[in-house]
Parts: sequence; structure tokens; C-alpha cells
Amino acid sequence: MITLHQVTKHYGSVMSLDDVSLEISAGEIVVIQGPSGSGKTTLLRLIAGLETPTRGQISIAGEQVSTPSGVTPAHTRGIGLVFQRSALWPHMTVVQNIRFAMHELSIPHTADRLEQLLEDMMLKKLANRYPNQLSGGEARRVALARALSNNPHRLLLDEPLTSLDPEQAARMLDLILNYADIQQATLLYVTHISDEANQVGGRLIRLQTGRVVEA
Amino acid sequence: MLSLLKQRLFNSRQAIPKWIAFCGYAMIVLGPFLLLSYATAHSLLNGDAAWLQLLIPSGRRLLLLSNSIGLGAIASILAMCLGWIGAVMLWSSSSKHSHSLLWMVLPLAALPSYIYALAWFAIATSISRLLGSGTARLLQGWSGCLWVEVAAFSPLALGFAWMGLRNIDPDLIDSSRLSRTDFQTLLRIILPLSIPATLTGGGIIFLFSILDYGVPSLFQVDVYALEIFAEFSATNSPQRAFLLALPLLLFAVGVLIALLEPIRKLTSRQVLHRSSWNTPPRWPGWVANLGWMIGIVLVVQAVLPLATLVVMGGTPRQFIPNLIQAQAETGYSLQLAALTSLFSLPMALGVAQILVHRKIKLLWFLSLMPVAMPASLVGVSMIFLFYHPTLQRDYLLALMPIFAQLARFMPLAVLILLAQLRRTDPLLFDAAQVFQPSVWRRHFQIGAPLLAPGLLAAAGIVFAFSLGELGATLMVIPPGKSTLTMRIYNYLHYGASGAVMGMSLVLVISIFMTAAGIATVIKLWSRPFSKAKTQS
Repeated sequence: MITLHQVTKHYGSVMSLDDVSLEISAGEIVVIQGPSGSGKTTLLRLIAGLETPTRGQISIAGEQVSTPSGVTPAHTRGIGLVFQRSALWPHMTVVQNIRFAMHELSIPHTADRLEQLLEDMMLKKLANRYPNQLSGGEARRVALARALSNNPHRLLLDEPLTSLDPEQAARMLDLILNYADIQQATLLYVTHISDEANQVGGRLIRLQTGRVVEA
Repeated sequence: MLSLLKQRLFNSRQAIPKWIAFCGYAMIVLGPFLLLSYATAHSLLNGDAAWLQLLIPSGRRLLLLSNSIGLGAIASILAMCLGWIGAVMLWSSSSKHSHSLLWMVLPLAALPSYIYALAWFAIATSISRLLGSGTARLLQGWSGCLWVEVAAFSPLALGFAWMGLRNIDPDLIDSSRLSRTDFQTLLRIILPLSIPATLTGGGIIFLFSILDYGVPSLFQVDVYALEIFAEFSATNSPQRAFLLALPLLLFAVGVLIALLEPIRKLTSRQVLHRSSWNTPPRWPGWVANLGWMIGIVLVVQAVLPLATLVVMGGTPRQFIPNLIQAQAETGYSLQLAALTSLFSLPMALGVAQILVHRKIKLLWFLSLMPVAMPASLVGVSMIFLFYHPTLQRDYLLALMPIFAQLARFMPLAVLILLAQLRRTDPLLFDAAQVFQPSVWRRHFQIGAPLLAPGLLAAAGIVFAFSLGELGATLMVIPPGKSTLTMRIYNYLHYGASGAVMGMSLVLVISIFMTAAGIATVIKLWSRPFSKAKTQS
């Protein structure tokens, strides 16, 4: 379970999240919607451990992981994250990008997992390319493969289908939902497209000016 | 072919002033050098073929060349290592003071290296008084020269490394932190992504080191750049000095050519205003300790010499008489530096506007060539041109130090203005063209305000570097005149007295005041336009 208790996040004088309290059960699928600047990305980054809350606490699986005085490291939280921009490491090939994100100790069959991800994401032919040799859609698929590489229990996706054509988007969405189903993973899915939100299904959380207006 | 080139270079009538500026720049920066090259070739063809042996370094000169390269390589590697680790510690620190510390250290890059030499001489003398003469020996000869060069160049290395780190997209770091420890992220993501900028800095430091003779001469380390100066002083023949300089020049040009592409890329990066460490990094204990140690070394290297200057030359009883004593030199130096920075702006802006959308390597090379030119060769070339009977006029001779300083430091202004131009949205200029028919109003109401921070920074950097210039100024100064740096340098050969400390302090204060003034104006100017950091 992911629990946010009265979480507030300021950036200087700008309030990004204001007194947000949420409970997300293990294995639950949650769609987060809201206009630009409503705090969707900040919410994901706080859960991932990439931001320190200004006030409030965040717990994962009953363990307090973020408070204003301390944040447990992101790599210990069992989280996979697809960023709004793909954020692929430019000095690494597709394979190296995915392999670097894998905890070799926690995944006994790294090579098999890698092979399977390349197959699922249709990246086999692109395996040795660098990010600057990929199209927007290809980069997005690599970013998704990287997020799934660790078999995370919690998958945070920030507009994951941007730059994909409709056919690829439908295939990727199937893959994401299958993954969540098979792994019983918690899925937090940020999108501003209503059709996409409907296809994902699950609980809808709507944010506006940093506050939860529907949960 | 010709029409295509013409079209590529002069795509509109508006390009003409830029090309006039470029020609002015090329004439000042390369003109004297090209004329001297021509005259040397002419002399060789007319029977001075014996001079050809100057071209091939052998025996003592080969040793000097290897001394220069060795010293430059070691100094630049050490400065790069110190600079990178120091920059990582400052960049990843959550302390509010880390930025202030960075902005205190960066202006030190403009301090002439002989100021460090002077301060460390004084420190070594104090140490030897306390611990015996053996310890002071560590700061003599090669080791002393190396220590002072590393101290003098570390702020520059820190600045380049910091630029490299600031240019890394924070999402790349965050995405690594999701699956790897912060130390692994440092080694596998941050190091490879920041190393090109750090190496560029290292390359520039290497050039500065091999072309400088000020510090090595103070430590009695024989280097090639000093030989050029000595050859000219002994023979008074610009052609012989030119031929002697050629091997060093060719080597430096090779390094510059290798640096062209990294420099071009560095000036084209966007400044990312998002912080890369929204949650503080957790380094292993030994990494944190190493960081602290390097931080202390950097602070000692930067602050101790300054503190020494203040203690030994800054008491009112010493400082005020020194200030009065060096009044004429200080005034003349400030005047030269101000005129140099003023003249450099229009030419550097024209060159930057030409380079901003062009990748033509020859143009880049011609624009940055002075970075690879020994200061003594700049001086010799100027003397050759301005002492030619047809040009020998008093007012031109009076302008010679300004031309020499322009030739040395205009490329720095070009690079700063290039970075500013690249970071300014070109659509803003396009919109001005659509809505405002007057060229002058476009320049003054849109162009100038948008480029103001770059113009100010370029002017400040040229001013600060000109204030401390020695290598070329020493050769071209008109009779009866002296700059503050020349006076300090001449006094330095007699030891680190209170008088020379006081004069150096005047120079340091002038450079710091320039840096602080410009930083304040840029900050105040940019405040209304800066955005608060937000996530959607």
C-alpha cells in the first residue's frame, strides 16, 4: 500500500501540492488526471523518492519512506518510473540503458529478462542504437522497457504513450496492463487524455492546483 | 559554387555589419601574425635559410618543449581532477552556501597566475621560518611551479566541470537513482556525461600553461614560451622569434583543433534551471571524505594566497601608501582594460553572430586561433607591424597594448556571446522583425536587452583578464609607461615584499569588484524574467 498523509510540496513560493492525503492499495490501478501545473508529476516524484515533501509523510508497504526530514533512497523502493520525457542516457545504447536499470542480484536471469523485454517492446533491431538514433516512439518504448526491467512492484507512468502511433500505443497499453495484472503491481498512470484514462480503467484521482478534487 | 558560398555566408543585407566586425576582428587578431609570417617567408627565400634550424627543436630547445608539454599536461590533469571533484561536491550539496562558494571561487580564474606565485613565495618563506628551510624547498623549482599553476588553474577547471554537471538533464540522474545507488549513478551516468566539458576545460588549461612563461620563469623552470621572449630580446628580430615560436604554435594549434568541436557543443547547451538533487545524495563514507579533502585543498589554494596578500599588504599603513605609489600604473591599467573591453564588444558580437548558426570549422578556427598563440608571439607580431616605418605613429604605438590585449582576449568574449545567443530563443528576434520595421529599434529594444547579460559578462571577463595581462603587454608597452602587472612582475624578481603584496591586492580587489559588480547587475537584470522552479 502507498499512503500519503497531508503531503504538501512547495518550490520556493510556488505551491505544487497542497495537503494531499491518499491511500493506494497494493495491486490497485489508479489514473491521475488534471490540467497542466496541477501537481501530477510532483505526486509521482514524491512517491518515487525523487523529491522531499515540504510537509506530511509518505509510507510504502507500511514503512515511512518520506518525511520533510528524510527520504529513503529511490532505488530501495521497488519502483519503475516512465518520465514525461523519455530521459534515456545518451551515452548508452538501448540494451545498455535497460541493463543498467536492472538490479542484477534481484533478477536471477538478467539475460532472459532483457531478451523478453526487447521482444515485447519490438526493440530487437534497435538494441545497439544510441538514443539520438531513435524516433520519439522508439525512445518511449525503451523508457517503458527500462521501467519494467526490474520487475517493480509499483509502476509510475507519466504520460507513457506520448509520441506513439495509435497501433503502438494500444499494444503498449496492453503490455502495461498485462504486466500489472500478472505481477499484481500497483499502477499509477498519469494522463490528460480521457479516452486513454477510460482504457486504463481503475480508480480516477483528479488534481487541480495541487489539491485532490476527486479520488 | 561561389554563389552557393556567397549565399551561405551573406544570406541577407543584415549580415554585412557582422562581416565588417569579423574582418575587424581578423585584422586585429590575425593581421599582425599573418604579416609576420609573410615577412619571415620572404626573409627565408632571400637567403636567410640558416634560420630554418630554428624551426626544428633539438638539444636544449627540444628539452624546453618537452618541459612545456610535461608541465602543461600534469598541471591540467591535476586541475581537472580537483575541479571535477570539487564541482561535484558543490553541485550536489543541498547547502545554500554552495552556490555562494562557487561564485566566490570562479572570479579567481581571472587572477594572473603570478599573484598566486607571489603569495605562495610568502607562505613558503613563513613555513621555512617555522619548520626549517627543507620544507620551503618543496615550493621551489618544478614542484613549486606545478603547485602554483594547479592553484591558479583550478578555479577555471572547477568552472568547466560545473558547466558540464549543470548541463546534465536532471531526469537522467533521477532515472538512474530509481535503480542504482548514488555512487553508481555518479560513476556511470554523471561522470561520462560531464567529462566532455571537463576535458574541454583541461585542454584550455593545457594551452594556457604551455603558452605561459610568467610562473615558470619565477620558479626558474625553463620553458619554450620564455625562449621566444628571450630570443626576441637577444636578437631584436621578429622573424627569428616567429620561427622559434612555430613548433610550440603548431602543437598548440593541434590541441585547439581537437578542442573546436567540444567548445562548439559546450556553447550550444541549454542552461537547465532545475536542480538535479531534490533529495540529497548519499555517498559512501570514503567518497564524502575525499570530497571534503579536495574541497579543503581547493579552499586552501584559493583562500590562503588571498589571505596572505591581505595580511602582508592590506594593513592601512601599508596599503594606502602602496595605492598612492602605484596610482599611475593602476590608472593606466584600468584605462587599458576598460578600452579593451569596450572595443572588444562590437567585434566579438559580430563574430558570435556569424558563428552561431555555422559549423564551418575554418571560421571557428580563425575566431579562436589567439587561444593557441603564445603571448610573446602576439607581442612580437604587434611590434613587427606597428614599428614598420609606414605605420610608426605615436598614437598607434599608444594603442598597441590595447590591440595586444584585444588579440589575446576577444575570443573569450566571442565564446560568452555565442553561448548567450544560443540560449536566446531565435523566435524572439523573428517576432521583432515581423512587428518592428526599424532596425535600430529592433536592436536597442529587443536585441540589446536580450543579450545584455552576455554583453556584460563578456565585457567583464575581457576587462578582468586584460587587467592581469603580462606576456604581450610587457613587449608592446610604449616607452615611459607601465601597467600594474608589469610593476608587480618586476618587483617579484626581488622577492615578496609588502609593497608588491599591496599592489597585488589592488589588482585582486579590482578584479573582484568587477566580477561582483557584473554579477549583481546581471542578477538584478534577469530577476523579472526568471521563472520559479515548478513541476507540472
